Amino acid sequence: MQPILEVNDLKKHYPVKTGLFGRVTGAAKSLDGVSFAIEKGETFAIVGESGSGKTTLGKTVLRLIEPTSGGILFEGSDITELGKEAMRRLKTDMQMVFQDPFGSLDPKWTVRRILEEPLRTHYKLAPAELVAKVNDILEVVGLTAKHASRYPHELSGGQRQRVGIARALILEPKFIVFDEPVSALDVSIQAQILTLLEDLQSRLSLTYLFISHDLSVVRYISTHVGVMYLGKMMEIGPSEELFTNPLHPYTQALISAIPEPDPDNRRERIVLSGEVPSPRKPPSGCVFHTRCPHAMPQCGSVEPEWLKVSENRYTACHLYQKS
Amino acid sequence: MTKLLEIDQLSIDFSSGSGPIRVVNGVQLELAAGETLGIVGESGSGKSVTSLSIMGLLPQGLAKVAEGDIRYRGQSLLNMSESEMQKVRGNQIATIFQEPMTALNPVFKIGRQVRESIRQHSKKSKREAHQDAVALLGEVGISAPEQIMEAYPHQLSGGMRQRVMIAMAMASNPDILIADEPTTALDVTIQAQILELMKKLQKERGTAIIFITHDLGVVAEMCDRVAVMYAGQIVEQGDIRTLFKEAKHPYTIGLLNSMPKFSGEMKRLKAIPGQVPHPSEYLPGCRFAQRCPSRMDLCESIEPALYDFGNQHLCKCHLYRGDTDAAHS
Repeated sequence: MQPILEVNDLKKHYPVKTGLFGRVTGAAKSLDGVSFAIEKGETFAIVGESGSGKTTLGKTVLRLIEPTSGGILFEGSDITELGKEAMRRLKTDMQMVFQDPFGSLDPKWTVRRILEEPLRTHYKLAPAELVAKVNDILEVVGLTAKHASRYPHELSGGQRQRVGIARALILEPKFIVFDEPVSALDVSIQAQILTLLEDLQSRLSLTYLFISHDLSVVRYISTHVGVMYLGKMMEIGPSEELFTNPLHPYTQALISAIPEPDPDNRRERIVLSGEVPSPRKPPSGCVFHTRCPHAMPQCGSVEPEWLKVSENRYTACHLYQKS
Repeated sequence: MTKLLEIDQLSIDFSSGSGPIRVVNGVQLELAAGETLGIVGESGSGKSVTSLSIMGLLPQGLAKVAEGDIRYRGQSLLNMSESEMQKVRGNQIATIFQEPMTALNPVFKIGRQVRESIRQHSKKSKREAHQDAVALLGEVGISAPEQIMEAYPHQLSGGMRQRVMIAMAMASNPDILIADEPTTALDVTIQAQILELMKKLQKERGTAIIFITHDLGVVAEMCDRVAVMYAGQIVEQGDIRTLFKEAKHPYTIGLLNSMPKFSGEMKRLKAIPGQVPHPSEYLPGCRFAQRCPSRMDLCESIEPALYDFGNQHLCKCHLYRGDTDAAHS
């Protein structure tokens, strides 16, 4: 089966300028050769810490940020070459939901206007149709028509995120990128939104790219996971397998660092020393070698290849290199 | 035995255009020497306001303690003058916050700020304080302390800044450390480092910690006892095992069920419907009633008593009204 989204060797390098005249002296590699594929109906999660490039990846996939190089195939055709108009039309299929619903909703607009806007840009609908569509979508995300006349500041965080989801859904897309959609919400509200996303996915047969730093949330929502560190993919696999048997030492450390809500499970952790290096000066060889508990001599000089370790399991680590 | 810290029927009012609004209501808590007490709750539960009141740091003119008392080793903190309180704040009770950037002065080097925090409660010379500061930064796991002394706050990462804050808080060897969401802004691998550090310092120095957080995972990891706050009240408290394994209050149970767990069987999350009410909309009865799956007729009109299940396990819910005696009504 053809994947709905295929990303090949995607790179986004930002020039690093120094000195008075802003001479370009290097590149910050926000994304450095990322590849993965998502099948229809899957939830592919990208996990990573600050500076891993996960948000850049989400935006680049929708070309909200232009890639430096690499391919993005949506339903088999490369969208990196598409012109403005074709890209605009593609927005009816590909949408994004952001972390901070307040920052992404115009404070001067009512909920109704916010939700009508994408319809007005893409279709010519009669006023009655607009009203009906907005009322329908509000119900789909668990709000009611009475919320339509409110302004964003009159809504709670959870309700605002529902509006953000409604805005993404109103064009009936096939594919949605979520960037930390529940990180700003309280636990009880987070659960409401996560179960809503699950229901929407099965009802509307949606495909999700789900970006998050929270591995418990990711384990709950995702079918597949990609682990990123400093602009590179460290490991990819089906989520249950990846979480029970992580291959890459970075994935192992990430999983070990999660505090679990079970006082009988206070275990010994792999506590990584040091901090994430700057993407302006990523370490040579394997980018993780400066913090890796298993670092070997070659790790500092030779970049590990992307290896298929078993069916569906991929990682970039010298530990799995066949000699 | 005198308790290290006692919060006795504490109520806090915020002033508003239409008169005072009670945001914290009848909070009763005790902290023993060397223990870690967690206060968990969602936004608007009153957990941070409670902690600010212990430090005497409620925003003046906006919020005030309306009823109750806070006692440190039997002595009321509320009756102290500002200068007496300042001494307590520097020496016996210290705080770290979620965002150390706002607590550090951006225009002074780290060295000067750590040194000053040492000199504030000891009569040390600049040089002695400098040596102590270097040692302290080393103790909180900063690998090149002399170098960090010369840095400005913005030059450090979030994790490093939190280490500096912990060093400054520990400078006076306080009896009590109040940590308000200290790891919420940090990445998970850095959070693990900071939690390890706090455990290590507590073990070495016997500091009691009040750990304020919304993260039940962090609570399970760090705390001996927990108090769960909802809408300005403590709805349940108990030791950590009891609370996670035998939670009684529907809100505590709801919170535990709405958290995705990392290990074990995958079950569909059970979300708590609705949202936390605004302090001006509190009902006369139980404040959780509107969202509660076990709601009964009396819940919205009559405030539930706090029922005692022994071993300091208390729960404020009408479901248990026949089972046990009320500790407080």
